[in-house]
Amino acid sequence: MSEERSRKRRRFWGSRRWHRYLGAVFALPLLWLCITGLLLQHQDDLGLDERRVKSEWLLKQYDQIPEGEPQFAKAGRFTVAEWGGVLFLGGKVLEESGTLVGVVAKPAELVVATSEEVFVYDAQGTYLDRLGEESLPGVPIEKVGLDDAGRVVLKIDGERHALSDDVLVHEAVSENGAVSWSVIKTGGAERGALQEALVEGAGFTWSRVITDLHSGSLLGKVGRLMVDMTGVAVIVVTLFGIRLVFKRT
Amino acid sequence: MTFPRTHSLVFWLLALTCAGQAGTTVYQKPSEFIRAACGGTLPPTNSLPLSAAHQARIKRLLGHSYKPSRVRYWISGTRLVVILDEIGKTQPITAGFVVSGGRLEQVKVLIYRESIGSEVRRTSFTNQFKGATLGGSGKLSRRINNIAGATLSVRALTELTRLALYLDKVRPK
Repeated sequence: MSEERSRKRRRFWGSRRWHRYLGAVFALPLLWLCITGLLLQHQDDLGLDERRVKSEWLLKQYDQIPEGEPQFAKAGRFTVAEWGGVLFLGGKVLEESGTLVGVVAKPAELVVATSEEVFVYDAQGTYLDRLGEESLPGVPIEKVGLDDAGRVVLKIDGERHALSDDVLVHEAVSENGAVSWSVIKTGGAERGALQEALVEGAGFTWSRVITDLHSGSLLGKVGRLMVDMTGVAVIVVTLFGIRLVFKRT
Repeated sequence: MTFPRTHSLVFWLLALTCAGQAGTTVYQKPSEFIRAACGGTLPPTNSLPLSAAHQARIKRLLGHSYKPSRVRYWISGTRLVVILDEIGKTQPITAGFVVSGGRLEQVKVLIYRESIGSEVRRTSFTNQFKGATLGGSGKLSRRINNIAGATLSVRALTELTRLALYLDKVRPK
């Protein structure tokens, strides 16, 4: 009986059994590491660091494409769009970000209001000024518009506040004056162009995807754990293999 | 309704992928920082337009020109209070600076948006900047010790300190 048990135990802990099963289970992940490793080794020859990723799924994984539909507002000849907090001016990605509330055009300046900040650009689109919470009567901003005198008017907490021409000073104004409020529209008509601008701006290439596939980072913690386990398994399989060679001889 | 096992696996893989991404942390509102630095009141806002000559000098301090091209600042007695932004790794770090007589009095990280490196907000780090001045070569008079894992944030704050000291030098007096 005890001999039977010890034989079973020997069979369970036997090198051949573990060599076979570990090899079978980790064959695919190892193949994955080998292929991605070879691709990385020859990324310059294959042009992986120049080829841009265009797959919508992959770009979404890397948060390069926001969820939902873009919103836009027009003022004069300018169109400002916002998509997932990213702002676009004339189809180009701006460094500034936020939730678009509206846009107004003054003779020489474009004023873009987000819920938390106001950005001022000149007629060429050069970023001139930023009004943060410290320079505003309050946040969040609900609406932005121009009054009859051409002043920028912000609606905050149900009250109107007008900005001075140099946008350094603000004052509360009457609710009765006429204000032409900026209107936000939602639409997917420009989605393709905005997505292209995001992809261009990000410079997101296949090199990064292959690197993350190789390290397992593309699948987060699970992927990294799997790569670690594959590495350990390869070491164990190798040791069992060496042991088997010596046993046979 | 049954939920296929493969879909469930994909869901958890994606959930784990997205886990651990940090958001924006506001340590102090910029207006509160200005009020605290100016004796409890918010003084009138001043604006310094950055000319091409300013931007050329700033380029040597930051490695790039500063955007926006007008910097807002507040004056309390002889002290300059300014709120500046600089990209750490991928996100801007908002910091408040108080400069008096060409010497840095205070630096404080107000809003931090990166997922790692927020150790730069600690006073044990920011106190290193106290009393720093800007040398002719654009270097700080004090050596700032790095924080492992927050190198880019340390660099961003050091560059912003240089900018704050430069702005105090060139602002109208």
